[in-house]
Amino acid sequence: MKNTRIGFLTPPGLVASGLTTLIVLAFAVLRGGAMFSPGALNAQVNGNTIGGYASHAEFADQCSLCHVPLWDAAGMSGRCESCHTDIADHRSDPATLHGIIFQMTPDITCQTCHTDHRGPSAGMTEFDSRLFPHFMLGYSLAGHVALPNGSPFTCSDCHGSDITTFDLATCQACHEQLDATFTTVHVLSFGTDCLACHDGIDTFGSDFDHNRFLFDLTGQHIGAPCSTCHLNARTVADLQAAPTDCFSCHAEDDPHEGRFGTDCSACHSTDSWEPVSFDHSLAAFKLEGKHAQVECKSCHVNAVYRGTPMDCYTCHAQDDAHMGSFGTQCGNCHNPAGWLPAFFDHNLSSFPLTGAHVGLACAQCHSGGIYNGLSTDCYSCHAANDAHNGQYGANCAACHTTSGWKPAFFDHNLSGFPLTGAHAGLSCTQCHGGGVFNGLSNACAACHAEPAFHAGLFGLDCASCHSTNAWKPASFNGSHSFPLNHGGGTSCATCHPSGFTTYTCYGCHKHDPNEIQKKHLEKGINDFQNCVSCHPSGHEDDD
Amino acid sequence: MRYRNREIWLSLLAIIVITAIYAFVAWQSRAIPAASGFFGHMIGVIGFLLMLMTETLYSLRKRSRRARWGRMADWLQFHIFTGIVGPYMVLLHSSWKFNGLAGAVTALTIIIVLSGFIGRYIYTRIPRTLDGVELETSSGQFQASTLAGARRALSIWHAIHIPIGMALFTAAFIHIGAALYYATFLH
Repeated sequence: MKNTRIGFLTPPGLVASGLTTLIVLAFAVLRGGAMFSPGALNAQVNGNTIGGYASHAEFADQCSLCHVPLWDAAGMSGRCESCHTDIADHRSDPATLHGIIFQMTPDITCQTCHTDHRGPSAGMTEFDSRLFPHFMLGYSLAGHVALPNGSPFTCSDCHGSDITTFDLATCQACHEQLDATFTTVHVLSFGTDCLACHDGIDTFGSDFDHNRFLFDLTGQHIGAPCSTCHLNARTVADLQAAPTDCFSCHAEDDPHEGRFGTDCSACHSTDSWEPVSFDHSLAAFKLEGKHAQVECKSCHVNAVYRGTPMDCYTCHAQDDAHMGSFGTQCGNCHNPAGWLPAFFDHNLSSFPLTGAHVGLACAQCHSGGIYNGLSTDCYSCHAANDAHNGQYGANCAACHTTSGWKPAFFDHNLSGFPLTGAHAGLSCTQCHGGGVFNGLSNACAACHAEPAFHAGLFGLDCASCHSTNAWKPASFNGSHSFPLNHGGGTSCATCHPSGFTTYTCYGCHKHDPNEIQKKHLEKGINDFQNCVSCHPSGHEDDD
Repeated sequence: MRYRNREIWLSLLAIIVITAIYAFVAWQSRAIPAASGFFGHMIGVIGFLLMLMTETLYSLRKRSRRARWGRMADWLQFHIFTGIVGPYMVLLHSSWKFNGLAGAVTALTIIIVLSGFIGRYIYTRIPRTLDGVELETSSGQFQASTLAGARRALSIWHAIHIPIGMALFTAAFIHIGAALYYATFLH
């Protein structure tokens, strides 16, 4: 019968397998797990002892000090921290290296970074520094990925044998190997506390973008050494405190000796000091009209620019055709486009131009170039025009307006002869004939001659009987030989129908002549024609 | 024979390629690849799987009645190929340290490979068909006594080679278990 077993499962093979297992078990009993050790334990010492041991190598035969039974859930990390209690304490302290690591990766084990069994002098810490959050310690490894020879950075390249410490001199020592001249100059310029400025991300070198900050590097600034502006900077705060105004650095370059102020960029660019472009419109005094064409020195005498007066008269006093009579504010009438045309707003003066005055040429009033101090009264100009020959005084405006001499409006009521009644409707010349307005008599008779029918009986005081409304009615209150109230005070014509020098009593119906004749004849009175001679009071029984 | 010593040349080619990769990894990390690293583990695991194939596939094919895939001569070539390349990768996996049980496994591996070469030499002394079946009748090229000596030598070699292999695989499995226990599961 042909053997169908797999070739190696022969009795000698199974015996060999069993023997091997027994040998391994025997070693395990006699030597523990030492046979599984992949290499010698670390024998380096740093002067400290934990549990009486100065290194792992001192307990090489006691596997159980690090290795745990299968049922121990804490694994080897639990054994690590049972000895390295300081690291265990760091778990809850994010200010420590291990605290950060535990915070970033809570499930990490000690063996992720630390190994042993690699020989007495081999390093025990090995981790990918690119994965370690080194920036959380205040310094990023972004700029320290590979050494100049291409090999990756290891912790010991910067930290030496103690990863928890860092000597600042390491920076300088290493970078001097890269570029001794630069490093020496750099340290002289900015000091030896590299970490005060560098956080590992930036280099402040060729990759550094200064334009990310407030002060863009342009023109000549691009090639300037950092220390030229950042003089004696020792920290980032110092770098950031560098002044951004031109004058802080360029004061000593100023050929204007400060006369142009401190803002060099108003005229200069960072490309070079020249050519210069000064935008005068940025100054308080904008250049307009003729001013834009004159040379700088016309105004800025002796190259004095700062504090140049901005009032017109300082420069233009000698140009004043008015000899100062208009004051010093040329701008009130003139503009920079030219002296002429000038625009004077006469209404701002004490003599606003109205009416016919508006259209006059200046010289019609301001003869002889005299503009200031002229009288504003009418007569100072219009005396020659006075049709009244001075009779109405010098205040033309009392009757006339500036619109024209005519029409004129005279308020006669303000005179010594107020116009009332029929006088109000008269034309001026009816009284003021011959252009005589002043000194006329107020007496009625000056105008009104006594009529003939008065027969000289009433005198020249018309107003004693008449009003200005009309000649009639008139009322006589003077001496009358016959009672005026006779017969009820009727009108004058009742008794004086044909004139005031004669009278009749027969105007009334009671004095029928036939009846009067009959009565007088009965009594034997034949001469009864002159009634008043016998009846002076008008009564019947008068003698 | 159409492909004379083909397995040897293929093995040599594989060794050159593996060595080149090993050298590249070593140059990049500036260190001998550690057995516990990713690359060290990979060559260890692959090498051991090849050794397992060496141990099992040829034997299974040789004794199987149903799955008669491929010719025995080709399986032997594959057996020799994996038997050379697998141990070489395990050797590289050792990171050139030979202490403890892992060192014993490496030593046994080297021994079993050398033993294999001897076995192959004896094996080729016996004329066979391409399916590996011994030719019962001599073609006259071999003396009957020589053939009998070769068969006896092969029998003795088997008696030694197989126990060494079993010891090797037993120790290797314990090593793997210990590595998983101590390193992978951190106990």
